[in-house]
Amino acid sequence: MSRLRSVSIRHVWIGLTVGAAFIGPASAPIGLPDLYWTLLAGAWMVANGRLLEGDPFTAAPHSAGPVLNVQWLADLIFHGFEALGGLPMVITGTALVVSVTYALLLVAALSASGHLRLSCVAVWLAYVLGASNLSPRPQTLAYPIFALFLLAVMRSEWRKDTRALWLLPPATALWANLHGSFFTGFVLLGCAIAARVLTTRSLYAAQPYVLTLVGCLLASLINPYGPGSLVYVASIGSNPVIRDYITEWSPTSVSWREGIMFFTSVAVLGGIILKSRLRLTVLEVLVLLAFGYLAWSSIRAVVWWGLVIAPIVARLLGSLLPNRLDQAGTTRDKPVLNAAILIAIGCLAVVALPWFKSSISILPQEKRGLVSPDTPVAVGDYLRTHEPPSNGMLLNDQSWGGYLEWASWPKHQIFLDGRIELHPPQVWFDYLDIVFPSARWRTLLDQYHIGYLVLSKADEADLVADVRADAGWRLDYEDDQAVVFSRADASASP
Amino acid sequence: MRSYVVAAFVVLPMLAPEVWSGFRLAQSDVVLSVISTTEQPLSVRSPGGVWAMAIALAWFALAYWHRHSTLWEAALVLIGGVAILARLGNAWLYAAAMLLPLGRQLGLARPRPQVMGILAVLGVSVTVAILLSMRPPELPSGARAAAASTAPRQAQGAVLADWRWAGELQRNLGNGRTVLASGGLASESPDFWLDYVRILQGHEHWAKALQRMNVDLLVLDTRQPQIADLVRTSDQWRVVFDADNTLVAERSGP
Repeated sequence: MSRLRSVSIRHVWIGLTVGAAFIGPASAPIGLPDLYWTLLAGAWMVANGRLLEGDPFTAAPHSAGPVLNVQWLADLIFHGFEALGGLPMVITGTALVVSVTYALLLVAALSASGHLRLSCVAVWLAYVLGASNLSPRPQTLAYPIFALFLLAVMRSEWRKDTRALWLLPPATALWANLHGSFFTGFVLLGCAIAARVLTTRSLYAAQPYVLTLVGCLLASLINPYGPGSLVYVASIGSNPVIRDYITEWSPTSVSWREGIMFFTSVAVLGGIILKSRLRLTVLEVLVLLAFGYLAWSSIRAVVWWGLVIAPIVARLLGSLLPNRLDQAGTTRDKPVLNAAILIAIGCLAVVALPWFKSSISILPQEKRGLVSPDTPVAVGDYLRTHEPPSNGMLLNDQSWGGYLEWASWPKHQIFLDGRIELHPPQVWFDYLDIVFPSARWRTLLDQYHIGYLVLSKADEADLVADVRADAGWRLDYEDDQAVVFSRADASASP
Repeated sequence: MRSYVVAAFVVLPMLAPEVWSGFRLAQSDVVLSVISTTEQPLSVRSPGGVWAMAIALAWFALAYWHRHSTLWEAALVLIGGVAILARLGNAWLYAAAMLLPLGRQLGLARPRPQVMGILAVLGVSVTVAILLSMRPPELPSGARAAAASTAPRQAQGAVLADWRWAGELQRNLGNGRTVLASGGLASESPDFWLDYVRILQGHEHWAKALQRMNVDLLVLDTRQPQIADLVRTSDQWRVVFDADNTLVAERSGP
C-alpha cells in the first residue's frame, strides 16, 4: 500500500513517455528496408560459424574488392531475435531498443533542464521526428548508444559529472560493429570539444572530451575490418547511386513527410529560442548547426536531429512555460489514479505486441499485420515452393529484394537488394533502364542472362505491360501485387 | 536606409534561379522536377540553396543577438521560407519577403562599412555564380538553320525541342509551325511533360509518344544521350544536323 502511495504524477509522465516509445514500434508492421537481408546474413553466419565475407544472396555483378559487412553484430542480434520468436520477437526486441533510447534521452533532457514534464514534451517531439525511422533494422540498434552519448555529454555540461564519458569508448566499440552511424558520436564529441575550447580558450578544459574522443576513435577500430570500417563509412555517402537514387539518402526537402517535420521543427525551435529568456550555450549552437546541416543533407539524418534537440528544447522551454508540476510536490497527487494510468499503459503495451495487436479494432487494418502491406508475401511464398527455371537468373523489383531473398534463398538467387554499394553503378543504371523500361530492356535482360522476372505491378507497370505483350515471355504467376514471367522458350539460353 | 540596400544585395542571388525561365509562383512538381532544378523543392543541393538557408540563419542570428524581432518580421520570414521550401523557383518571393526583416536587423546591428561592402560583393558574386550555373545552353546557329530549312518540308506536324530552346525556336520558325512548350513550363499539361521526360530518357515507347504528339521535327540536346542515340539509329528519323551537342532530325517514316 505504501508503494501505491508513492506513485506520483511524475511516474505517469515517465510511463507515458517510455510507454509510447515502446507501443509505437511494437504495434508497427515491419517495413521493407534493410531488415530481411540482415536476418539472412545473421542466419548464414550462425550456420557457417564465420563472418560473411562475400555476398551469396544476389546474382548481379559485384563491385571489385572485399565485401565489408560492418553491421555483422546487428545481423547476429536480429537473427537471435528471430530464432527466439520469429518476426514478432524481432519487432518486440526493436521496440525495447527504441524505448531504452527514449528513456536515456529523457534522462539526458532532464539533466539539461531539470524539468521532468518539459523533458517529456521534448522527448515526444524527438519521437515524432524519428517515428518513421524506428523500424527493425541495424540503424535502430545504434539509437540507444547515441542517446547514451547525449546523456554523458549533458551530464558533463550541466551536472559537472564526467563519469558517464568513460562509458563511451566501450559503447563505440559496440556501435562500430552494429552500424556505420558511429561517426555521429564523434560529431557530438567534436562539438563538445570545440565549445569548451571556444568558451574557455583552453584545450586543457576540454581534456575529458578529448580523451573520450580519442578513446572512441581507437575503440571504433575494434572491428573485423579495422580502419577499413571507417573508410567504408566515409565512402558510402559518396556512392553516386546511393546519393542520387535512394530516397532516404536524398537531401531533405518538403517532398517527404520527414522533410516537412524537420522544417517545422526548425521553425518551432527557432520560435522557442527567440522567445526563451535563456541563452543558447556555445555547445548547443554548434550541435544545432552540425546536426541541422546533417539533417538537411539527408532524410535519414532527421532522426539524429530529433534526438539532439530534445535536451535543448527541454531547457529552453523551462523559461517559457510555468512548471507547477515539477515544483508543486506530490501533495495533490492521486496515487490510485496514477497507478491505474500506469497499469493501463502497461496493458496497452502488452496488447500492442505483435502477438496480440490483431485484436485491437481501432488499429488500422494495414497496421495489424506483422509486415507492411507492400511486402510481397504471396510471391515470396510462390518462389519458396517453386523451382527456378532451368535457364537464366532472376530479375526482381529492387525494393523487394531483401524480402524475396529472405523468403526464397538459396532456392532462388535474386538479382539485387537494397545493399547498393555491393554492385557497381553501371549495374544499377542498367537495372533502372530495364524497369523504366528503356528501349534497351530486352538487350539488357539478355546481357545479364535473365531467365525470369519478379515484378511489381504498381511500380513497374509499363514493363509488366511490355513483357505481357511479348511472345518471348510467359506468365507463370500473378496476384494483386506481383507477376512472375519466365522465358517462353525454356530451352533457349538468354 | 543603407542597411536595406545591403540587404537587397544579400537577397539578390535569390532572384537568379528563374531569370532564364521566367518568374512564376507555383508548387514543385514531380515530373517537372526531373526537367528543371527550379521546379524542385529547396534542398541542400539546390543552386543557391545554402545561400538561401544562410540568409534565414543570418536574420535569425541577428534577431537572437539583439533580442529584438517583431511579429511582422517572423511572419515575412515564414512566408518566404514556405515559398522557397515548396519550390526553388519561388526564390524571388523569398527574396522579397526577406528584404525588410534582414534590412531591419542589419540596421540594428550597424555593421562597419567594410562588412557592408563585403556582404554586397558576396551577394553580387553569388548571383553571378548562380546565373552562370543555371544558364541554359545556347541553341547553335547551325541547328537553328537546319530546323528552319527543314521546317517548310515538314509543315504538317509539330516541333519538339529541348524546352529551354522551344521559345527561341518558335520565334525563329514563326507562327507557321508549332513548337511544343514554347510558352515555358507552365504552357503544357502534366501529361505532356510526362511524355516529354519519357522521350528524353529513351522510353521503350518513345516513338509512339512522338507520333501521338504529331511531332515531325526534333531539336534535341545530345547531352541527354538516350534519346539522341535512339534517333540516330532509327529508320523513322533522318538526322539533318548533329554537332555542338545538338541534334536536329526530321521524320522520314510513319
